[in-house]
Amino acid sequence: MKMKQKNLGHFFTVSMVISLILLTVIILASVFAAYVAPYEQAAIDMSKTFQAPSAAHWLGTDNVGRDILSRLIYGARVTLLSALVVVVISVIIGVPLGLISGYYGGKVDNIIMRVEDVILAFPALLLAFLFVASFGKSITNAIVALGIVYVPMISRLTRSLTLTERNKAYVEAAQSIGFSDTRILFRHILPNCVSTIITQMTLDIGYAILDLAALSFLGMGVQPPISDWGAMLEEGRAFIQISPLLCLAPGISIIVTVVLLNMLSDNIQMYLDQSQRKLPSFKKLRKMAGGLIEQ
Amino acid sequence: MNSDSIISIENLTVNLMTTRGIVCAVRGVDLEIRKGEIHGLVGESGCGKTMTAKSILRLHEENRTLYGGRIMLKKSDGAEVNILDIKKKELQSIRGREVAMIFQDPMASLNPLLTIGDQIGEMLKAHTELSSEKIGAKTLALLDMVGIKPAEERSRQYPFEFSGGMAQRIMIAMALSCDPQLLIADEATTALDVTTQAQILDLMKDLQRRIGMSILLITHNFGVVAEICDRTSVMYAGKIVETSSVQELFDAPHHPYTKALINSIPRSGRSGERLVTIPGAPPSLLQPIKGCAFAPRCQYAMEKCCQEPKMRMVKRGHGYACYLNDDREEAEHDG
Amino acid sequence: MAENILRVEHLKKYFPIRRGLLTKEQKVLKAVNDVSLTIHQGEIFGVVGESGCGKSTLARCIMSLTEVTDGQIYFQEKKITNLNNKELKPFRQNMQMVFQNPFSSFNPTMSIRQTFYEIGKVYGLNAADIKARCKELVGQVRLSEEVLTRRPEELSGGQLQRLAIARAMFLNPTFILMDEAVSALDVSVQAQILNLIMDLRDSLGLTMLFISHDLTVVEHVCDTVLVMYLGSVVEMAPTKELFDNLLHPYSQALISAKPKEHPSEEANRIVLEGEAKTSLDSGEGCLFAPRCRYCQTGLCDCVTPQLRELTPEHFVACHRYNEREEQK
Repeated sequence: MKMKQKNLGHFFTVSMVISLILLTVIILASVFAAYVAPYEQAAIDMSKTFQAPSAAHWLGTDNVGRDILSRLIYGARVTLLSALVVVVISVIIGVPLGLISGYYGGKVDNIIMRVEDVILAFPALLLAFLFVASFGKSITNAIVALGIVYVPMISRLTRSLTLTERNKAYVEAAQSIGFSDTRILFRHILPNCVSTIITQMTLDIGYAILDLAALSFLGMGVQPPISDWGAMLEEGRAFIQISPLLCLAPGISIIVTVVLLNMLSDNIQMYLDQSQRKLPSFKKLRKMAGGLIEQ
Repeated sequence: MNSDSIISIENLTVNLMTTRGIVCAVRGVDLEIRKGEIHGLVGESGCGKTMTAKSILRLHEENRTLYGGRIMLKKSDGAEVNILDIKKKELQSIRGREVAMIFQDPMASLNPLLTIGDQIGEMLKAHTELSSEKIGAKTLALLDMVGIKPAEERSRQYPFEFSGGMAQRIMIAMALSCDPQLLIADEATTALDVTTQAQILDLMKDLQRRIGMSILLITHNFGVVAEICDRTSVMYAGKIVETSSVQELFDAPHHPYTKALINSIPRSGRSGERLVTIPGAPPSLLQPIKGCAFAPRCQYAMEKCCQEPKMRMVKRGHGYACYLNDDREEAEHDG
Repeated sequence: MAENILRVEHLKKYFPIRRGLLTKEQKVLKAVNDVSLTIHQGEIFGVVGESGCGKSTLARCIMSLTEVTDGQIYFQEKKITNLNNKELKPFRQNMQMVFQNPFSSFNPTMSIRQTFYEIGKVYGLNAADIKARCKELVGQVRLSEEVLTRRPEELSGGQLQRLAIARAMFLNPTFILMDEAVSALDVSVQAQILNLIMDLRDSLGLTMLFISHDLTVVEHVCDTVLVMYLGSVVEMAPTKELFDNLLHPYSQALISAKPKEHPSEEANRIVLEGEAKTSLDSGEGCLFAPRCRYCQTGLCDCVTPQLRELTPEHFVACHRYNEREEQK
């Protein structure tokens, strides 16, 4: 009589499911904003300013009568997409740099590390601010600026992963077979680093949301009439006494999204790190083993 | 428990919860370790020898391990306790004092930030009530006993200043610090060079002779067994298949697995010959095993083997679990 | 006279070690210090030594995985010392390596089939040829074709090491270097791999360099044995000749330290006293002198012994050999 052994390391833990579902809701809502949002984001109606939440306007209206919920949904699109592009830029530049500096070491490594040191010496936001101030205020510049500023984080991570993998036997085996360095870096070492890099990327999207919001808040990011959550925060600031919801709505959205992203990142990491997988409690163990021992 | 045993393992089972399922690492082990003997526990990887040894000190993670059976220990004050039953506090007093363990990688077991004198002293402070001077004196005596000379000077050095062999001696010194009855050595010489291994084995033999230390030596190397063990138990797939004195193990092994294993070792003077190999692979311990675990690979397998064979005793302390010689013995008995 | 497959001449590999910020003096770790050897076609050449003797570094130098400080390496009489990747490519096909740990020598993210496929692709084989070659190799190492679909983590040490040997044979090399290839395996599995190695030598005429710290294994499988100590060669001879007639004091101590094969064997242990030197110690003199019971002050600790052919094909690096012979 064979006893079925369940795979006890589940991918779908409770927090993983929650974070995945909620994030998917947010992303889908922003993608299909045109269908989901009850109103146009720029629909001004001066007769309905500062309305409290009601059936018609779930989160009320702002200072020019626009529906806050709709603005939130349209704003999500800009915020999330921008954050994603920031991270993609940093990865496209940072990962190859990390691979090269980790694999070759020596002078190449030194040069790359020192350049990144310069970037790291400045607070991310300040550097982005300077970049945008020099090249003009626009969301594109803000995205590019942050993308460059985030490069050292990903590059360093990739570098240390590469350093670990480089000494492993399968890399030596690939070298002794005569594979080119490029092939070894991208077909052998990189796939073994991908999971950790993805964990970091998920976290970085959260950081990017915060930094983009800050830039928009300072007027360095999106320009009117487009607005994202950061811009909404800025606009709502003046009216905080009258209707706090103008600030609270985008603020809480930012917090919730970043927290969900962090949860997702943690869950991915826990799943990948075998030893931390949640196993059933001792009581359950006794029950399961009891069945086994009785045979 | 027998009068000259210090440890008596009775029908030990260890089930471990892992991400791939429940592993029945030890499936009913009976083992007796006598006072003053060096007992070898031999087997290949995955056979359960380390699991068995760790169970004696209950070193497995409590939340993920289910024990069955008993491990009886005769403490130095004469009391007999079942290690699997006792409370954490009593267990703490047994670990290090009654039974001590050393592992394969001595460097990993030593704290790189403390001098070795301090580390041994720490152990003494935790387990005994000696004064600082007495602790200092005992530390030097221990280092001297394991061959680390000049003890005074070396006790003030840090672990990185010692080689692998020296570090293992320090571990033995630490293990001996509280005068345990039993030393468990888990693959303690596997990572060492041949010359260093010979020295450590000599040291262990010396300790047995001088202070009557009992040692449970876990290894996969039959050479080590031949070198210093008095009796040996061979494990396969979580059970002991044969226990005997070392002489008889090499001269007349009874169990087919033992025979096959000894035959697959290269010997000097027979170079170039093809070695005898065992077909197949050990069974997975994730599934319950029916009958003799070695039967699928055994050249003598019979129909009877689908029933788990019990240990047959040839004489006290020498037994094997196989039906092979039953008919012959019955015939001798009748005739 | 069989062809010379591999010839190493006076190979040296030194690692500079910086000792702190303030010392100007740069110490040098002489991992491989003047090693010469020649391997003929169809020979299994053994290199034996304890940790720190430089055998792994020697392997890496021969396989061009690390740069050589001095000396020359010839493969089939063509110089391959310190060539760059591009120049090495034609040689790589003929020189392959099997590593100690089967689990870490395979890329964990690739299936076995993908690993083999990649080799074929890089060397210009078409898909059909690769498939046929995989099938052939898997049969030669006596595994079922099914293992090709697996990932490394799903296979056992023995299976993986056989696949490592299959991988080394994929391109039909002339020469395979086995670096502690059986050290991490269980006894019964080791037996299978050793049998396989001997079969491959007999059926395909493969030439091999077999590195190990296990003397019994080396004696069993190798035709010639070289003993290393702290980066230098101390003794070299055909296997039977060496084990019948150990000349160097270190070789004698090494063999005597082997564990018994039977409990009733007499152990004639040669105990080494004294502080061992390290590969960092520079200067003249025999590296084994501080621990050698035949050490003659004035000679052994001042003059580095050279490797000399004492009896046909039996080389020793010892000053006092002749005298010890006479004493017998």
